This record gives sequence, structure tokens and C-alpha cells, in this order.
Amino acid sequence: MSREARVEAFVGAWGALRREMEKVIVGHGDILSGVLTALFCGGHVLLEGVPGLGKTLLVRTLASSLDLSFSRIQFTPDLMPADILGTNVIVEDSVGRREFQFQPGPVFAHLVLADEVNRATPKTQSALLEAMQEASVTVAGHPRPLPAPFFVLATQNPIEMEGTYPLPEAQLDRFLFKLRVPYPEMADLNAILDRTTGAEVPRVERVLDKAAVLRMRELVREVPIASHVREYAARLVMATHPQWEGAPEAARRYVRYGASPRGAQALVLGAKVRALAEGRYNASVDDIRALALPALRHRVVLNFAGESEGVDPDALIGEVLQSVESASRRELERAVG
Amino acid sequence: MEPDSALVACEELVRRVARAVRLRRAARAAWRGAFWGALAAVGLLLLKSWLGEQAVLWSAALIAAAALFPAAFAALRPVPPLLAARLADRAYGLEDRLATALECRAAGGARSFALFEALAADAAASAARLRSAPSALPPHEVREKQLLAAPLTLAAALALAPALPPDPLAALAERLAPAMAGRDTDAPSLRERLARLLHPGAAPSQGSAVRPSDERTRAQGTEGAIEAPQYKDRAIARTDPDFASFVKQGDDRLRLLERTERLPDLESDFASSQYRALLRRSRELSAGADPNRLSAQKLAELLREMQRLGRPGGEWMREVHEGLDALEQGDLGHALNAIRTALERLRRSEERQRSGQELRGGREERRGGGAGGDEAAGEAQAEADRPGSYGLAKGAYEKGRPTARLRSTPYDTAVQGQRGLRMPSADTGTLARPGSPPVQLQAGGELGQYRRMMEDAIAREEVPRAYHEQVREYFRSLQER
Repeated sequence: MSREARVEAFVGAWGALRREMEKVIVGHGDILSGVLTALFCGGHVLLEGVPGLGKTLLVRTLASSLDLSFSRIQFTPDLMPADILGTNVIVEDSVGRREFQFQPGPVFAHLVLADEVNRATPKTQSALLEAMQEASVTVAGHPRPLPAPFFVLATQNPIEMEGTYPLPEAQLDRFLFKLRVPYPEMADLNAILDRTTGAEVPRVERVLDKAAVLRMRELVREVPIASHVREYAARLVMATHPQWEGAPEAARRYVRYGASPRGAQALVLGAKVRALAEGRYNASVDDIRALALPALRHRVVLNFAGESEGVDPDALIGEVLQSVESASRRELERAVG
Repeated sequence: MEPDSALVACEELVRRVARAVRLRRAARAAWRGAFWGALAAVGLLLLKSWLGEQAVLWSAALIAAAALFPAAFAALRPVPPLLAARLADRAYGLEDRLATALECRAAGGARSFALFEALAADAAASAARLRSAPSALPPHEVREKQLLAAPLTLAAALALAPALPPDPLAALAERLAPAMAGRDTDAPSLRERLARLLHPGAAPSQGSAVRPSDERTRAQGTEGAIEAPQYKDRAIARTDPDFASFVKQGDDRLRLLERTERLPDLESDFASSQYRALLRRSRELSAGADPNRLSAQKLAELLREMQRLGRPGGEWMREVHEGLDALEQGDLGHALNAIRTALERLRRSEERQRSGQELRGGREERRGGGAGGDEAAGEAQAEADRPGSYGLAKGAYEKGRPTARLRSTPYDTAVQGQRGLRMPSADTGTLARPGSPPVQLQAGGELGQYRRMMEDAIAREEVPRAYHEQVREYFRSLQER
């Protein structure tokens, strides 16, 4: 298959997946794009939103439209790491001999929904760390690889904080994107009511299998990116660091730690997926700019002033974007002379 | 289509953008150069009187050169293709296709990037659609372009106007010179006079300084000439102090400073002296009273106060210690006599300080000699009066007398075992200045102190009872000696 055909196949698969998901999910176009982008990047997504906005439904719909194994883990305070990873149990064979046999946990699936991930204890949350980063788990001293593609979608509720354990920065950094699920618009709400209270239940078809997903992941990494686009992503990440000389005033005042290099990786990979989804063969500055919020909002750690003044990370990243954009424009003007 | 041939359209677009960039640079450099050249031309035209009519030509040439040369330099400056491609991507909304394609080609093309061919074709198609697109660069306002009219207008006005004279006074003097012919006044001197008339406070220039007397003479000698005013040389008329008087005053001041050691000590006021309290108290105690009616306690109090106030080794401390010893032995009469003697010495010392008599030898004498100072002065006087002492100083410490010089410094010591001049006392074996009583005074005072310490030690039972009498006997023997 030629390169152009592969790119066309990618665009087709992207469109088909979106169409299948939009059969169930009303609105939330950005959320759907973000989830699909993370899927083809090979990253994981943290969905944040109040209850009842369809986070879990979105993930279930995605699992239904992909020919992949799916497991759902409801995180609760009494959930233990073994409940996620699996454990060795004594099994008696046909001749009566007993031996330990590993029973894989729910994490051994292509698509894992970690529902209300902030309700589990940090010990259990950390069980996901190795799985998310290494795509393998270690049980009883034996590393066990997870099936590829491995895609974790976690949800959390931002307002009901009682009895929760906020995710530590190390674990937040492992999510490629953090997507905020907003409340639906009036028209979307009407459509939701229409679809969910009628007799007709939408049926989702499987449009993509495991091999196709892996091929598309390979294709994503072949998308070229110009040096000034890459530099733009790096400058964006550096501008979130208060000690960087080009950081805007808001970052200097309210940020304790800026985004990690994983943030820049997320920007570049996401830009490549976005370019392919739009039928382009190169990542652009616009792609980087479009993905700045989901890729950086959970990687910026506010300081005391930022927390006490209730600074929204999205507004902060907006200022960072504006600062980097104007600096880039000035630089170009100077070069022109 | 081959990638390289596909990129032809991209390169065409990039060249167009690069040309636009060079034009913009040239225009900007031309406007800026013209502005600054026009400013320089204005300066040139102000000097038209010296340069003549050529100044106009030079100014025009300057403006043209200042505009053209930078413009040519800017137009010839190369524009990097990637910069032009980025500008084209931004200007035409090409989503960085051009820049990425050109960069990929420069980095190896299809060998390094799997999607290069598709990217090149996509970029070429996008560029081909922009063949008739407007310029990629929006018009840029140059600030100097808006300000250029002012210096240009000024330069034109200066070019059309007659040349400004270099020296208006000289020109006026030149004009007046024919009218002043035969009146002993040439043009430079006339210019000088005009200048003084216009600026009376200004000093005349060095080359044309005219003294008032000369001016008067010349004015008197030339009948019918312009009446010369009486100019006053203000620089000479100033009443600044002359240097000689300043030096004289300085000498007087220095001399006064040298004498400060010999001046009476005005800081020590007798009325507020601490000794005055002692004198008053001693008079209260002894005024017309029988010594036997004074209590030993009051006498001891007075003596201790004198001891506290007096410096160790002072000239009246000996009497104070004698008084204290006499009090301890119960001899009130002897103690009272000691107090009187001490007070008498104190009074004499005060009077000497007030009168300044003692200042003849400076304060060293007081510090080193005390009562011996008078004696030393008397001896020196007698020495000077003796025949054969011609040429020696008559002061208390005359030069050339080693003995007196030894006495004059407080660091000199006497031979061990040498006795004091005035009072026999116990030989303590201490090295001290000859003729000064402090050694004996310290010994006498310390003896009393040690005896009191001995009594205290016995009272505290720190000495075995069997040795009490033996210790007391030892101190009595010291006292008798």
C-alpha cells in the first residue's frame, strides 16, 4: 500500500470511528477528537467531568467500535492492586496436582476504563503506573506484558472530592491528554433526550481492529515535522516554567513547576495525528496550538499564589500560548527586517 | 510526479516571497536613509555661507546617497528560503506545508522521510493554487517615511534662502568700515566694540584685549571718534584676599596651635572641680573645731573619698595613706594633720593649674614629677645661674644635662635601691624613677591594705589560731621599719 493510500486509510478510519461514536455520543466533538488522537498516539486519556455527562458511555462506545478487548475497573477505596493486576492462585490439574497459576486482572485488556480513578487509594493507583508507562506489569516478580494496543481511559469527578485521593503529579504526567468534559449545549441536550428515551437503541459497528490500530500508530510516527514547528512546541513547554527567561508574567507568578518533556512529546505526537486526520502530511504550528490545552493543563503545577487565587490552568496556558505566539511573530518580523 | 519537479512550484512561490521581502527591506532602508540624509543635508545647508552654492548640490547628493546605498544593500541581502517558505505558509495559510517540504528535501528527502513524496505533491498543489495570489507581506509602515517631509521641507527652504552670515557682527563692522574711514578705527576693533556693546558682561577675547587706559588714551586722541565708554576690569577690581595675607594668617594660626600645650587648661574649672567638694568638706570638718571632737568615722570617710578620687601615686596620696594608718592606730590628731597636709597640697596643685605656672614644661612635667617638678625647676634655675653654664637652656629640663633628661621622661628608671630625694622609706626593691615618692607611697599604702586583709583573714578564721599573734607581730615589725 502506498503512503498516500495509508494516509487515506487513516483518514477513512478516523472518520468511520467518529461516525460510529457520534451515533451514541451527542456533541463533545473535541472530546471525541482528543480520545481518538490519544488512541493513535499510543497514549492514555484522563477524562474529567461531573457525573452524568457520558464519560463512561464514551469509553464504552469506543470499545464497541473497536475490535479490541475491553475491561472496566470501578475504582473504590477498598480496591487492591491485585484486584487490578491479577494474582497467583492454586489450581488443581486433572491428576490432582496443585500448582500456582497466574490469573490476570482486568488490566490485561486492550482498552481499560478506570472509572473514578481518584476514589482508589494511592497504592492501588500506583499499580496502574507501570502498566501505563511500560505496557507491562510485574506480579510475583514476573514481568507480564500487556496486550498491544494498550489504552487506558480514566475518569474522575472534579467536584466530589470527599473520600477521594487526588492523583499525584507523577501519575498525571503519564496521561497523554487530560480532557475536560463540558456540560452539553441546549441542542445537544435535546438530542440526548431524544436518543436515550426513545425505543430505538443505536447500534455501534466495529470499524477498526487491533492490527489496523497498530499500523496507524506506525504511520503517525512517519509524519514529518518542520524544525520551527518542533521548536514552537518546545518553546511552549518551556514557557510554562517560571524560571525560563521567556516565560510570561502569569507563569512566573502562579506556576511552581512547568510541564515535563512528556508534554512536548504529547504536543508533537498529537500534532502529527491531527495532521493525518485532516489529510495533511505534515504537522503544523496550528496543530500544536490546538493541542496545547489537553496536553499541558494537567502538567502545570500551580504554586500557593495560583492555588489561593483560583487560577485556572486553561487560562494560564492561554496566556502562555499568546506570549509564545507574539514572540514567534516578533522573531519573524525581525528576520524580515 | 518526482518530488523535485513537484517542488518547482513551491520554489517559485518561495522566490516570489523572497523578492517581496527584499523589496520591503529596500524600501524601508531607503526611507530611513532618506530621512537621516535629509537631516544631514539640513546641517550642510546651514553652513552654506562657508560652502557657497555648492552646499545645495552636496545636500541633494547626500540625500540621494543616504537613500540609495542602504536600499541597494538591503535588496542584495539574501533571504533564506526557509524564512520565505515560513512567511508564505503564514501568509497563505498553507499549514507549514512549504517549509516542511523544503526542509525535508534539504534533510534527505524520500530517503529520510517516508511521507516526503506525498508531502511534496501536496505542497506543490497548494503552491500552484497561489500563482496569482497577492503579496505575502502586508504593507509595512515606516516611521521615517512619515517624518521625512519635515527635514526635506527645511532643507528646501534653506537651499532657496540666502546664506546666513558666519559672523553678524563682523558683517556689520564690514559695512560700517567705509563710513568710519579716517577715524583710526579698523574693522576688527570696531567688531570688538560692537560685541562689547551687545554683551557688556562678556570678557574680551584674548587676542583683542584692550586695557582701559589704552582705550581712554585712544578715545582722547581721536577727535570725533565714537565715544569710548569707561570699561572696568571686573576681574581685577574684585576684593579677593591676597595670598600674602593668607599665608600670614596661616602662620599665626600655626603658631597658636603650637602653643596649646602651654596654654592654661581652661577646661578644668576650679569652681566645678571635684577637689572643691573635698576642700569644702574638710573646712566643715575642721573649722574652729577641736580635733578631738571629730569622730574617727567621719575622718575615715573623708580619707577614703580622697583615696578614691586621687590617682595612684598622686602627689597627695602619701598623706592620705598616712592618715588612714593613723586612724587605724587611733591617732586622730595625726590623721587630721595628714588630711590638712593633703588638702594643702591639693590646693597648691589646683592653683598651679589655674595660674598656668606649671605649664612651663608642658604636661609631661606634671605627669612625671608631681611635687618634684618644682624642685627640678629650682635645680635647673640654680644650674643655669651658675657660672659656666652659658648657652644652656634655663628651663626645668634643659638640653645637654643627661641627669635632667633622664628625669624628664617617665620611662627612665633609677638604679635599684636608690632612695627617694625627699622622704626616707622602705626599700621595696622596685625599679622606679629617681626622686619620685610614688614608690614609697605605694609601699606604705599597700602595707595598710595588706594589714587589713590580714585582719579580715584572721576574722574569717582562715589563719590557724596558733599563728594569729605571729602574723600580727610580723605586720607590726613591718610598720615599725
